[in-house]
Amino acid sequence: MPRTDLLRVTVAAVALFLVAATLALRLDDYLLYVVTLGAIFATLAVSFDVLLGYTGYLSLAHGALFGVGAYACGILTAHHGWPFWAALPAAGLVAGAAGAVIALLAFRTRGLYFAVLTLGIGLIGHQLFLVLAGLTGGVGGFVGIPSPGRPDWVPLDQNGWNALLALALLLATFLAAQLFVRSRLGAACLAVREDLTLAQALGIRVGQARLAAFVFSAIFTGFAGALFAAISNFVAPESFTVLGAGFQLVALVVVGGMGTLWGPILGAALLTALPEALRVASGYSLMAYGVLLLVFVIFAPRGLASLATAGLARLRTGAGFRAAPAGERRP
Amino acid sequence: MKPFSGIGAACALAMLATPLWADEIVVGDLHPITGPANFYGLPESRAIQLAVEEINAAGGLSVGGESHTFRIQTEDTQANPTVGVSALKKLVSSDVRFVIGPLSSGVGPALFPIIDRSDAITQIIDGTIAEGVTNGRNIFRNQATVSQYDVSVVALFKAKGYGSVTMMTDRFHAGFVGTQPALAASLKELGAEIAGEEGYKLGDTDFSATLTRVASRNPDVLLIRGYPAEGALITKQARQLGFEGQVVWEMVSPPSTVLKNISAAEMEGVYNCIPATTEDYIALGNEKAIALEEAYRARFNEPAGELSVLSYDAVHILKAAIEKAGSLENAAVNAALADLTVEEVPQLISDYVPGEGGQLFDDKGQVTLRSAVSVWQGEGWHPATDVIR
Repeated sequence: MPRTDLLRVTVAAVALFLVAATLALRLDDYLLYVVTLGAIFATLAVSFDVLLGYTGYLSLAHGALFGVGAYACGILTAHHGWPFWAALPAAGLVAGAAGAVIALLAFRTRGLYFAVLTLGIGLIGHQLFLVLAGLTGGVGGFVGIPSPGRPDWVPLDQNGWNALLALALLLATFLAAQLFVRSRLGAACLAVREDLTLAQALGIRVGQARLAAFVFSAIFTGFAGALFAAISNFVAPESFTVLGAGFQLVALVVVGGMGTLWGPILGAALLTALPEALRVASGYSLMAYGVLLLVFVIFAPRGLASLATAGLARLRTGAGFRAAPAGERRP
Repeated sequence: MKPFSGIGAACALAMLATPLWADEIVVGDLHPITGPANFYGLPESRAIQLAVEEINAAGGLSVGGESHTFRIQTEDTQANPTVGVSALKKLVSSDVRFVIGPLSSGVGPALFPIIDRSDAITQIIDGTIAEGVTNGRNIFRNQATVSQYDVSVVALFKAKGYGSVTMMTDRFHAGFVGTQPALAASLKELGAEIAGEEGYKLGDTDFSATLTRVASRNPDVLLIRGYPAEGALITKQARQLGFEGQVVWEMVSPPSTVLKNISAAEMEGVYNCIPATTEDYIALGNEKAIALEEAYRARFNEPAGELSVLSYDAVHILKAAIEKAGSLENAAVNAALADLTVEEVPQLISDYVPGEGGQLFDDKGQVTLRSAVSVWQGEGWHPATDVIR
């Protein structure tokens, strides 16, 4: 892909970040918190899209990797006195290392077996958060995680600073993912997704590509976990269950649009805002969530991204548009 | 006159009875209105509503010579920490400075660091029994802790002289899991052998494997710690598998929830070791509890929840503290709460043990609720006065 295209994406992403940050910082603390959570889940979704959208492997262990990053940050900052800025990269590396181990084990399988194997790993991870109470606080949760340090020269309160960090992490993750998918490894990942046997026959180093995608995804999932822990000041195992965080990631990417990187950001924005918007009728919140998933899988399987792209194309040409039906392959 | 008699008419006249210039004090009601714990949370929220309507109908609050009324802003925690934090942020953004709740042992610790470092929020916890979520500065609790629940268990073992026990605990309940080692140690000190410690989780329905093991050990007591839906199933399946010992519960357990999973006959004789709940106070003839029950039934067409008395009390505690402070400033109200005596809140229903000097809260902001044991007889729980008077 031409370098100018990457430059254009970068400029657009930075511009959108600046707009989002400027608008967000005008919001009250509650809406700012919703934006902060949305940005963290968007970071998770983008990093997950690198694996699911670009290699086609469905991991259900990412909820646990999110927890690994969160607990690593909590332990390093609260128990060992590390500053947040040292704990953040360390948490990413710990999650990346855990991701590498999981990947080496899980890539012995494919398809449904890969999903089931990572499901098992996700369950083990969640149980470990409960059992290792000395480190994690067990079922009672990990209390007293320090907030991300705010420099004196920053003219924001802690809530504004948290939101800015979450948006900045999303920007960094998105740009890093753009670089990754445009690299030789990214191209190899696409080949793996489209036809594993053909990729192997062409001499593409399939194992290396898949491993790199998984580790990349795990590192940024760990970053998101670390920031989530520092912003919440508290984490508990129930935030990192397979049925909770694990499947939620899948939903964010499917609703947003797999293999686009920007679609999952839309998915995260929608699926974070929806439960908050439905607070007054929270009994219907989960139902609305389920209906949305059904609608997208049946009528727009390539997610919000495909709807947005088709809408833009329609505006340009004046022609009608339709979302791709289920089962239609990407170009 | 009963506090709730004619409440319907009183509420209708509330706006007339209350001066039009009365300022509103918004109370944040933070409970699980939906989700797996809503059978606890909704009755708590409704009791807050009733208490507020009663106070407003009686003329509201007098703060430094000015008249004020309460208004409730309810936010749903869904018993989920992330949703709970979001709900609190929403209250704070709406400039709500007095909060009652939450219920869940998962949500309480998640809210603690936010409220602990704030000087603009005063919290009265009426639900969660998790340890370490009060500070005596701006966070107070009029609910018991798990340790206080355990006191009732120890009292029962002491009274009955049981020789062995197997504990079955919801392993995701932070409070029960946290105090299990201390409870086991206390029971051992009484001479009871710990025959086993088993775990289960909310939503489990088949306990046959675990209970077969329990039945084979044949302990004197099967102690179940967690939630009533599972408690009922465990009790039922234990009996079906031949367990003949005493079943003891340690949980807030509305009969309506219990009886969904077990018959009243199968529950006969089961003990429950928690401080007295709404139903106990009614059974003991507490007039204020009876009045609350009548008002609740009249308004919502169903009985009050087991924890409704605590939520009702929490509103009156807040009212008393604000009036004592003579100010709406959080710092002044916090100081008044810390200094509040049981006698200064005559509307209280629950049986609080006053501290030295008659204070309601200790220096950590925690009340002491009198220990109690109930026994299932007929269709519900009744005070086991032969165990604890």
